[in-house]
Amino acid sequence: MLANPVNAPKRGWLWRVNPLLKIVLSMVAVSTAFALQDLAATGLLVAGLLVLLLTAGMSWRVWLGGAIALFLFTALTWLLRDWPAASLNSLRLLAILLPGPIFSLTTSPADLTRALQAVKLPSFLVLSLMLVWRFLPVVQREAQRIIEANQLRGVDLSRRPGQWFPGLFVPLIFRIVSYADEVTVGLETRSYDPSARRSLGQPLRWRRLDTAVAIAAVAIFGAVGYLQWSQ
Amino acid sequence: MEPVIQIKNLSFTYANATQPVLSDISLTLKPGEIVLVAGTTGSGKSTLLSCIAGIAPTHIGGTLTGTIRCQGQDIETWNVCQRSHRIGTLLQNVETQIFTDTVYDEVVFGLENLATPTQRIPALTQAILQEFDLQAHRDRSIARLSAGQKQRLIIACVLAMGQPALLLDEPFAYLDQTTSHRLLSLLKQRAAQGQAILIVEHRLDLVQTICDRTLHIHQTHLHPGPPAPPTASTKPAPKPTHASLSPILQTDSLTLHPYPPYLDLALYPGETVLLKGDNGSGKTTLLRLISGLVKPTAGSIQLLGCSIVGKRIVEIAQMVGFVLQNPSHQLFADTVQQEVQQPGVPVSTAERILAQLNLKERAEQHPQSLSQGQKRRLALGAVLARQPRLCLLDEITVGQDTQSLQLMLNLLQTFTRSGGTLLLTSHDPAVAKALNAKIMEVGEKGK
Repeated sequence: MLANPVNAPKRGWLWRVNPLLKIVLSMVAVSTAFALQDLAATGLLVAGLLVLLLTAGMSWRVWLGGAIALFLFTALTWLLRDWPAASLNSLRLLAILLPGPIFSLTTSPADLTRALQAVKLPSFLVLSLMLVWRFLPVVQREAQRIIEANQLRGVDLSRRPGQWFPGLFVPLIFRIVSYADEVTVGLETRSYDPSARRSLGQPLRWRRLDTAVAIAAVAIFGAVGYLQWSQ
Repeated sequence: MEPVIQIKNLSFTYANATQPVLSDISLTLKPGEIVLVAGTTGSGKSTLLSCIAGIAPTHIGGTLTGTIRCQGQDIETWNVCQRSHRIGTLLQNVETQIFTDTVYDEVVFGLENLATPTQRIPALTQAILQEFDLQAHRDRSIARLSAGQKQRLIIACVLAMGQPALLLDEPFAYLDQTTSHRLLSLLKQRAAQGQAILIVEHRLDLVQTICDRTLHIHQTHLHPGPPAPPTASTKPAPKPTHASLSPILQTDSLTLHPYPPYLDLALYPGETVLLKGDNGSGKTTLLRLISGLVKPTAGSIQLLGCSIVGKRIVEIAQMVGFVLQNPSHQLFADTVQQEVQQPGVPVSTAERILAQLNLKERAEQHPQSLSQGQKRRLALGAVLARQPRLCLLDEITVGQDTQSLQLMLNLLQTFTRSGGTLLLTSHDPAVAKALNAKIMEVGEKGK
């Protein structure tokens, strides 16, 4: 039986969008955000990105942390300058930052590898990005397990910062170092050679969904551009 | 018939070691042959597989002498990746062989690396998923699989690649009975199709049913036949009587979505209960519920008559010890001695436990420098030193040879004889027998 400990969240439509299209749209969104000076135009872009982020299934803790950080940033800018500047800068910051989590939360390592291979990125870069993509959740999971092991031993790290170094950082560093070695071996035993030709099990295809997303993106970016540059 | 693998006079000495771990090993693996290599923990079984796969000495520093040939070709100068095109390897820690995030993508990953023609990949992937009963879960996230499910998946990935030789390091460690038998028959089929299979495994009873030869490593040499059985056998622990005692642990209608409700538990002092169930049936999750790491969606847990609702994990930990599947996560001290001799633990108790676990000679070593089997023993000792009333053990017998397992069982028996209660998961039937454990089914079978 392959029961699931926790219901696997259903993957939304963004998962099915061509990863290359997602990379291109993310880059366009970030570049546009740098150029925007109009509050309405920036607001529209951020609204679009927030809608996408809602479908990506980000945890409420991250939403809360992000909201607090944004609030502090806005308050600080307001104190240093004025309210219009604070609101515009906060929205621009959001527009610059949001494409990252949207892409990472809706793209699998395998899709990322395929996309990078498809654009003929050098193999060492594909390997590095693939490992980083795989590595970050592993570090997060290892840290969580070590924190739990501390609690099981009667040590609540949140209340004893003095224990962070011996209780969390030292075992985590051991795990990360040994993981880095082990994963290299694991990758080679699975026949991965960055310089060798690989086939594509699921070649990237342009689907109707991609066309729809591209049209919607052109419409939104068009509206943003109109608001910014028509006056 | 030309051998698939031919090793002659192989010796391996770890860097900074004076004595070799393997001496003068000669082994021939013919097509269609299944060979089992047994031996005590740390005897060099995994090192032998590493030498054949090319991991040693490339990634594990040391000196290798002798010859290794694959299908008639000298492969000593080949790297791990080159060898992997002819030799499929399953590592002990399968987590390090996972590189994608869904079941389907993981199988495809290996086939892509072998440059398998694109049009053949879907059929090969479907076939292997079907063989391993994973078809319905092809889009499932790997992060949500249990240890046994991950092992099953990586075995499927390795078998899908179809190399002429297979090296499997403890492939049955986390597998439930059904999956173990499925794998046995699949390996038999693969051998019949001409693949040569070398297995390192402690569960001899299981693998000996399909293997053509059994070998064992003893004092750095490879010998024919299984290893000698241990001289001192554990007497099964006596059944406790608890007519007048109140339970240590009681659960009532415990539920965690999406598992089926767990059977109600009542554990008394001195009692041992083994949780049995298929991979992914929720055994580890039940232990996590009891330790407070996970909150149930319904039902109640009582420890010594008090509900654990609202209690912090550190408070529950005063009564409940938990030995995790991966011991590396719960070793924090600078030395083995300090790991056991925590605040409140008398020196005499710490020394007794270290002696019982055969770790006294390593008292001044750093815990992370120990072998995996020694780490498991130490993690158990560190938990029992705190004298919990209830001890939860999650698959701690994996990778333990008979003697090492014996040391752990002896300590656990001492614990239960002194009134401690054990709740454990293990796929090894010998453990239940030695601890005289009551067996409780978890999952669909336990309904």
